[in-house]
Amino acid sequence: MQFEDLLIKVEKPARYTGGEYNTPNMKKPHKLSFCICFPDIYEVAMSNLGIAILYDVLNKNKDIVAERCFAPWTDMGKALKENNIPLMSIETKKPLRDFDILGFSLQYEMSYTNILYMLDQANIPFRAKDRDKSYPLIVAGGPCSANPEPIADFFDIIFIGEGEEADEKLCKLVIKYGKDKQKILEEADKIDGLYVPSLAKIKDGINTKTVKKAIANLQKTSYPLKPLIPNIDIVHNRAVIELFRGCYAGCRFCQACFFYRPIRYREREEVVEYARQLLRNTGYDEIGLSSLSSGDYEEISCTISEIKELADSANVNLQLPSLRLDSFSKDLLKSARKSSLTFAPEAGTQRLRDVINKNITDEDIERTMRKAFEAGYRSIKLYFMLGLPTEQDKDILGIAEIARKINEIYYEINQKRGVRITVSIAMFIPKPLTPFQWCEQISIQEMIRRQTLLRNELKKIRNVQYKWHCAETSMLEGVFARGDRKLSLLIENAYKEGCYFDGWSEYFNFDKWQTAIKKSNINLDDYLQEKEIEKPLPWDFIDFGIKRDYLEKEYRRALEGKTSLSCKNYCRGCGANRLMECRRHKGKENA
Amino acid sequence: MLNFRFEKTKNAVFISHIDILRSLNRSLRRTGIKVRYSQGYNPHMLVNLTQPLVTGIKSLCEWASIDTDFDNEKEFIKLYNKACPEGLSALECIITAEKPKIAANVTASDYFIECEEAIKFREDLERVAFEDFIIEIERKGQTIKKDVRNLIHQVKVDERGIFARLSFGNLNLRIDKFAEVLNKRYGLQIRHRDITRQTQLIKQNNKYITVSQYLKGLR
Repeated sequence: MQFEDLLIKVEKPARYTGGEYNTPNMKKPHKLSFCICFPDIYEVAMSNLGIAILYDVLNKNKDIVAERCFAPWTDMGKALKENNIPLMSIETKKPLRDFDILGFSLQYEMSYTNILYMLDQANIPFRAKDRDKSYPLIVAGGPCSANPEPIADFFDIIFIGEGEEADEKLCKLVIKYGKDKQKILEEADKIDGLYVPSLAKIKDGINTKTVKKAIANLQKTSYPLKPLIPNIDIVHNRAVIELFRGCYAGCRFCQACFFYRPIRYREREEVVEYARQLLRNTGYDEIGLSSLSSGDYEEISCTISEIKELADSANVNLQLPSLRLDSFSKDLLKSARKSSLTFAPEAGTQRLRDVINKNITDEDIERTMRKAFEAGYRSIKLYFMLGLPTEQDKDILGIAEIARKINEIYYEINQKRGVRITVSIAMFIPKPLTPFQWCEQISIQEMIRRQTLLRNELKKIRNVQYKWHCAETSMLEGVFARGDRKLSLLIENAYKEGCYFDGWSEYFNFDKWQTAIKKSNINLDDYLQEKEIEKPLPWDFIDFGIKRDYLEKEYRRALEGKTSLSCKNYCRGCGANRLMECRRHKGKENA
Repeated sequence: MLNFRFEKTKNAVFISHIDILRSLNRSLRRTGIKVRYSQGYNPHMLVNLTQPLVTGIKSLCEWASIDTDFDNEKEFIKLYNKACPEGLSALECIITAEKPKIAANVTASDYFIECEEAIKFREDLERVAFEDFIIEIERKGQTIKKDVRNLIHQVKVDERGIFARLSFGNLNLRIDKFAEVLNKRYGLQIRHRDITRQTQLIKQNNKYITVSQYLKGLR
């Protein structure tokens, strides 16, 4: 059976056909072919701004044609295998093996088995050492590059940090040296942001050769103002404007906050102009702002007002950033389409919020909720974490207390109709490059006990819906987040046992993972327990800009229950501005 | 009221009906043409489509009606075709004084099935409308058999393939089900991609006219 005939037999065939509006010219003469690979399905991949940015940057380069390939859903995966059809790119249906470079996006630890699934579908050996120069150069990048060691053996090169500029530098090398893989690797090893695992200097299982993180200069790199418009519904089906990169807040559990430092801005005029062009070029009925904390964007109110005016004239909905509702005018709030309001206190008591440096007070929550309900919102989503360092049962019960209070506020304002409060619980996972990178991760049994405690309490409150993350998945995510090179064997064994789409609860199979763990002879407790501050960590070889002693200091402050001010108020000297100028310091003297 | 006929070809054949509607909305927004919106809680563009076509089948005759004051038929096609994804180009535009009821009036559709083998069974095939024609339908986990000969209006065969006029609209015979029976009965190998919907038809005074002719009568 041919590929075209499989399309009518699988769910959502438009995932595999391409033909989206704004597709660049794939027939232009070029020197290098690049396939952007994403180890999850079309709907997730196409919602990722990073993919859109890289696709745009690469295709604007006169020498490069960049295509896409996403993990085929299980029905298509089986059909391809049964018919001996290798995995192909979406645009020109070229087998992955025929590209010069395959670039995988590393967004989530639980998608690691899907990288192997895609390589398997493409008939490509998993490990870099098993691929001769007839195979494409296989590279990876994305937020999981904060600790690339568990997957290092699968890749020829891993991008550390942001890919916009580093990607093009690598492409230049490949154009220059063609199929001379060894030469390419040696030259790539000299470039900031490019990590060549095969050239690492391993001592006691840990790489000691420093690699500097790559940072994009937002003023110099282009932004996708003519993004691909999917032909099917995707997770985030809207035009997106990136306001700034980095985060002022400094929540101690948050990897993104530290990974994307220093803070770099897009100026207001540029943001509004982007909105104008995106509205014209996309036809989306919704436009949203993207950043780690849009409420912290300088001039957020007038930026929103200007974009709102443009959006209204085009009958387009503007999605308001949730956190700073009080900074918007009543008129603006009233005219906004009110789907639901998202709020992330992360912890149930002030004490624990101080430990994690989430600078939100009970008063902030109450004030925001009151304002939201007055404006007509009737659906609130609350995000919390369980298992945070120093957490006690009374902190967990505090989450229920917040939900109870929100319920009361709602009925003070609106007595006629009900409200929907969704309490969504993630498990705390200590991540590299955060002040909590040394912390213990609680066991599966303890996760379940705390989840049950909260569920039983929330049951007593009306209008509350409870959602939680699977404890087993969270445990594995924690293992891979702080893992070392030994874990590549576990990933490989898990895939061989039949594990893939592990981020999808319907496909996650812990029994198969346990078999793989046994076969790999790996003790997972080694990865979950508290780490000694003095000992080296697998990701210490990466120079993220952020200083290790800064993270240590923040960790100690956390244990003492002391908060740290936002970078907006005071520079605590994290060190990120050693790699590139930080917005905090622009035009100011260093604190 | 602006009505236009568009194709559903190339990769667009795999886009479902609801996604076609979403895509059409976006294309219209990109044209910059002002279309009226509903006045409800979640305002939506006032656009009507004809009945859904089976995914995977090509068409040269999908119709959409939009509520707008834009009144230049040629200019519309130019603007729309610049703003739409491949495989969904506008082929014809007819502006009518009133809102037409295309979906409610369409009762049949003409299809062409590319199949050179069919000529071998010409006599039999051209008689299918006069004999039992049983299709199998899955409903609530059960397979139901149904005789649909009254939904087959005409079948003609030549060297290139089969022309079939089937009921479409409230009474509907899915072309893929029709092809499935022919494959089974005559050993043909008709695939979805061999089928093209050519026209949608409306019955007026006991005579079939195309949607285009119907709309021209409302100008």
